[in-house]
Amino acid sequence: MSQTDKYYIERCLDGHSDDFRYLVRRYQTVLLAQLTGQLGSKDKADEAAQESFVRAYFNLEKLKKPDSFFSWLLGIAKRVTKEHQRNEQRHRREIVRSFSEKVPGPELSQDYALERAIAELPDSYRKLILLRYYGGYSCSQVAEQLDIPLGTVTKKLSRAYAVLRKSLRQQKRDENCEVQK
Amino acid sequence: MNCAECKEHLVAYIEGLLAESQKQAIELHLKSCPPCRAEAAAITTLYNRMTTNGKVLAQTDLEDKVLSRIVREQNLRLRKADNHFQLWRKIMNSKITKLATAAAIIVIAVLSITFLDKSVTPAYAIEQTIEAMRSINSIHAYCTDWDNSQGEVWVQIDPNTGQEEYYYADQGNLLIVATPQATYYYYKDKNLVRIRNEYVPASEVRFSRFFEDLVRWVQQYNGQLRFYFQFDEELQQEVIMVYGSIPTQGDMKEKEFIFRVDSQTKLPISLEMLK
Ligand SMILES: [Zn+2]
Repeated sequence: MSQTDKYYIERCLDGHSDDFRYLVRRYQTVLLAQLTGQLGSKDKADEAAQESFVRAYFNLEKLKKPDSFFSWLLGIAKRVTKEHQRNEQRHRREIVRSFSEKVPGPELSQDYALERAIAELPDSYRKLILLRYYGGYSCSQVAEQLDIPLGTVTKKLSRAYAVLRKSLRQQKRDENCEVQK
Repeated sequence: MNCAECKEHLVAYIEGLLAESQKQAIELHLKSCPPCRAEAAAITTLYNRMTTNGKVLAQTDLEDKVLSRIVREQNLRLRKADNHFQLWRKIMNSKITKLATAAAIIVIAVLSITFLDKSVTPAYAIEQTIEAMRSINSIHAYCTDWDNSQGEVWVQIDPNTGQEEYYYADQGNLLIVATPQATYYYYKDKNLVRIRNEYVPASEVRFSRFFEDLVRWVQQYNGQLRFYFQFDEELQQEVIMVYGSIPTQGDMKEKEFIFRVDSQTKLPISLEMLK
């Protein structure tokens, strides 16, 4: 699994669709982390991740820079998420007015609060966090993948940590308010 | 080291990226500074929380699900691509660069093939492909010659006779469009068009019947026909491989070919000439 994204993309474009498996393997966790945070439940994230991959596969020839597969995939996932959210809203309105807007679904993932906080991060921080803690990349691999110096990676990670902690504290406060009501 | 410096390097410290001297400086500061210690603890907690969460999410395996969806979608698209089916002819005989001629090669290849094995498993019978092909009214084929030159052809067929009616053939430098009234040759490099006021057949092969013609010829010679089921890596689905061979006949060298047949529609997906 040490080949570059570009290598597998070219294999796929040559008709070896099975090699797409390696790209799925490489990015599924990252994608799930992002999608669970946005969609709330594990099942929904699962479905959206699959859809994002399938869409990516069928649009591979449109990907101009194979090295940026990861960012491109995140972009696709973003659109898929929006569509899912829109459908869900429509769905929710059509059925009865639901009791509480905030309840994201019956099956929450293991650490939804964290995933939500990550999903709300600015793009450039989120990419770093996803690759480092969900993609199994080391800091220097992250630097390579995103083409930035290692020092920038740790600096950005520091800031991302700060934003995440703030957002987690905020979520806690909101929860507590809810309970008090 | 002061608190600001310490905080700046905490993540790098926890990530284990600091040089030994820096690392020691941080540790020294942490020992004497409770607020920074608390900060470090908070970051470590979050670090562990993300790592754990990452591990949990990594347990989900989407590979097979994604791939089977791709296969399904691909088949759907293939079927949509042309109302009936796509024929991929991977390798045709050498020396042939022009598609029209390449198509004739099918005849030659066909002539040289002999095979018939009447043992038929219930899952598939050669007749099923023959039958399925009779209802075809158009074919879209990609061809690759042994010299790697490529071509593409669309053929409209009269299902009743199996005869071609219209076609469009792109052979790189030459584009041919044939209608019942006229055949147009467009030489791309010379930007020249030649018109003949007649239909010039793409091939002598009855496109939608060539499989059955093949089988008939096989009966005349002492060739072999076998088929087996195989999982096709490229298509990610099970296909029927119809393998045929015919021994040398006079000045005709031995021939071998493989049809890949879609196990659902029973239509050929590709024809590959091996010899
Ligand atoms: Zn301090």
